Amino acid sequence: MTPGPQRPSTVAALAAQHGRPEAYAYLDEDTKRNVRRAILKALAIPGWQVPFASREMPVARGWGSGGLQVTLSLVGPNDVVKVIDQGDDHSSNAVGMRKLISESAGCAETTSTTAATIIQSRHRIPELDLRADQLLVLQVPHPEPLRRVVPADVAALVHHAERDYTPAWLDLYDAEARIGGPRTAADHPVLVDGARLMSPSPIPRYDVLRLNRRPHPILLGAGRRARLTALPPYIDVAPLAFEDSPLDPEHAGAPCWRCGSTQTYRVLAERRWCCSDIDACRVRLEATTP
Amino acid sequence: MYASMHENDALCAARALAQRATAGPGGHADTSMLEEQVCAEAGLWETTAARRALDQSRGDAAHAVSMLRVWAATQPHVQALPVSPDDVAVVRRLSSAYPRIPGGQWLGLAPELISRQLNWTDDDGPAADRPELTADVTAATADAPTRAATPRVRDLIDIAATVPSPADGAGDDPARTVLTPPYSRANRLAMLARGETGALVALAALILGRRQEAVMVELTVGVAAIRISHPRTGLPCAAAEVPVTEVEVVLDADVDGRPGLATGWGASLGRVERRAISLALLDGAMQADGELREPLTLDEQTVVAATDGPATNGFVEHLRLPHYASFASYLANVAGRTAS
Repeated sequence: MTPGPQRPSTVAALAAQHGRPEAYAYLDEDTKRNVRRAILKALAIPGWQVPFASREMPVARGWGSGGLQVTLSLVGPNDVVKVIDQGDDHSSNAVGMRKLISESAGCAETTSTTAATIIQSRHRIPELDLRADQLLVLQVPHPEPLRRVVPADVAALVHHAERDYTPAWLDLYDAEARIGGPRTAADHPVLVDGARLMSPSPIPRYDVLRLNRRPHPILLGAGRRARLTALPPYIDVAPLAFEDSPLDPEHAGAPCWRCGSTQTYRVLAERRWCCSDIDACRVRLEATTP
Repeated sequence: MYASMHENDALCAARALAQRATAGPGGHADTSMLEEQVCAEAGLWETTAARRALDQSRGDAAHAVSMLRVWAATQPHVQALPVSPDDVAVVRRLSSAYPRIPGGQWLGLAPELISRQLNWTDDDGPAADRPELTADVTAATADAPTRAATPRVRDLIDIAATVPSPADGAGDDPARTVLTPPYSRANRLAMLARGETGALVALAALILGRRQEAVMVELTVGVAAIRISHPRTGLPCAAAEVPVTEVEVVLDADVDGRPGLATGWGASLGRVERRAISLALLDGAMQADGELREPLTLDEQTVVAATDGPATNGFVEHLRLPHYASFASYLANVAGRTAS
């Protein structure tokens, strides 16, 4: 295409025409295109870590810059965005990112799991089941599931390419023999489609067991390590575990003191157990108390 | 210019040139955090001297630290008494381990809330906020609780076995004594507390990348009253108030062949929190693995990762974010393994 006379020739001119000092949804179009391409590739090879040009974001590296780039490259004006940090909508980092997304993309924001179209989450899978039209974005600190057993990235890449996860199996067997079960608490590695080992981000084992065949896509962004991983809808996801020693979810000490649930993931707060997913807890509480 | 060069006219001219260059306008840059960092690295709390050193070194932080240490070496030394928890007023307190803690969390002056987007407008928009930002930290202590009245968050962790900490004791002043290995934990902490911020963060990020679990149990920013013995009466009297950041972390560790926790502690002068977090991580790793026996390969990948400033700073500081869900998961795993 030849530049016509009305076509602005500089970035400044483009910005002036746009009428705003910054791009829609914060990221420039080239970055968005790069991230979207990486997402498509990641969806095509479920569980594979796809490098992408991770930008410096207005949140610190390791504070959700990867998830933020994924969300910003997908969000549109009709979206409703929810951001949670360890199950909590009101954590200051989550509030900051939700504001950044909704203000730069001009979209609505919510704390309700059912009302959201895009849910960006740090280290939890929302406990209310998501629908096929919803999108879950996870923030990932360590995309490489082999990082402790194969410290060299290049060697790990060879293991992935050859689908040879012997070091991970040996590590699991070692833990089984020594302490009677895996050492991993959160961030237990999963096998995607029976073939590729993936870090599900440091979600608790309770959530790892809920990853299998979900109707919605899950996109995992690791900004500091510049890697994207994806789980397309209805993909098989199984935790790395021996057949006769399945992965155990966490057990809480008592029912949630707010909603009384005994089935959810609970954490201790001032010596009382309560649900970690605040919105799911609210929904249960509203359902039981008229 | 080399220090060993003989005194001659060229050297005088060069010195004059360097001095003229430093005399330029300082602008209105707020360098309070940099001053605190220089003080912490110098092991000397005197922000006015730090500002002077920064000005005279034309903003070269490493040079300013050296200037402060050189100056401090010529000053008379008075032995301070150990700081009592009653004399520490806590002005900021966070925990990443539990959503609610006895004694509460206070955000205080939260560095993570300062925007990372460069503001190009010249008007001092939030001018009303500025005095509060730069205000002396000691001014905020009027109604602050003391460290003695604030319970330790680590005492809430009763479910997991912890690596016993080596016996405490008064350490030596790294500025006044030659410390020789093997170092006691107190001496090790004292030396690391004067460490260069970037180096501490790089090492802490390397360690953090290899751990399974690392949670910041408690961070407090406090103002400590330093007391010395009165030269005549011998009674303790307050001589200075110094802001101190104290961090406690827990790392995964093996205790008698079972998964447990190692507690790491770090404290630094001033409010540069990434220093204290890094110190606590280094201390925790040394307690979890003895003398950090884990071999560290300085391959390309490690070197590149350790030198990426924004990545290592962000990674170390992300410990300030909540880790409630993952910490509960780790504790549940540890409890299950201990019971079985």
